[in-house]
Amino acid sequence: MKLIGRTLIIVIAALLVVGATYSLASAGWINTAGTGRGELAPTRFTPGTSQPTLTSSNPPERFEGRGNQGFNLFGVGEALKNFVVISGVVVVGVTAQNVATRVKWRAPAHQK
Amino acid sequence: MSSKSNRTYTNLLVDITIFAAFLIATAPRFSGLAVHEWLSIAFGAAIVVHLLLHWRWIVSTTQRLFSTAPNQARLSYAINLALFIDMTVVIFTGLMVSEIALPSLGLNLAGGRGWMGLHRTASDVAVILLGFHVALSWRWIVGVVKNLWARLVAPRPQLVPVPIPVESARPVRKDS
Repeated sequence: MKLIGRTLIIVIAALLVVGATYSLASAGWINTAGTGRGELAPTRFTPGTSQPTLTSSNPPERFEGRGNQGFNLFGVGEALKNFVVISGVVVVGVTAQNVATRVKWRAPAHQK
Repeated sequence: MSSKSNRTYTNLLVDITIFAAFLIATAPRFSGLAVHEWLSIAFGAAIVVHLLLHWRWIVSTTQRLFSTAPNQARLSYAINLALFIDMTVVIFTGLMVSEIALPSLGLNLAGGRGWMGLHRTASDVAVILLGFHVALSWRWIVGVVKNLWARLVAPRPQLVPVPIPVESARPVRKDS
């Protein structure tokens, strides 16, 4: 029972964030306009050709920047990049913590 | 092994799993879109489990936040709160632009280009915030890993047979 209550609190907190995000988007604070991700760019028929040509100014948005739909080993670089960024932040954070601890310990000695 | 250390190792295992899932989920080119979407939805459930496992810390720090909590606990609290908000935004915007997971359930949300932009920005912010989240828990992580390593590597005490005096089961005759 306690577990269900705690889970509900977490879900409600998440829903509050979702509601706030959606409200901000609806109020125009976040620009969410544009075509849906599943929609393809408009095509037009060029007179004299049998195939519709894609307008170059408006390329299809589907899978834009998200790679292909299947597993791709070459995409491992993306995961590695994030790992390196996180590692860098961890190093900076841990170093800053250590420095702060040392300063905290030295400060009373200087005051004497 | 005590129940407290069992709980600690469970926490570590859950945290490592969540971290690995995060790395895979934030690389859709690597995992593919279907894995990216389904794993991200599962990731949301994993976050709930993570929060439930650290519920005592959340409650105690919330109660002491404006009174006796040390500055590091306040910083951790602020970063964890920001990470929770950011992760929620990442998952929500991800659902808004879902192409495989939600449509397969018969749901098609009208997500636009803006949602995709927000999804990417929030995801980039999550990478940074996760780094700080790990950094603030670094001492705990190192301590638990060292403890676990010591348990795994330390030689186990060998069992040496010790003779046990066995009393005769024969009833003692009472000659009175």
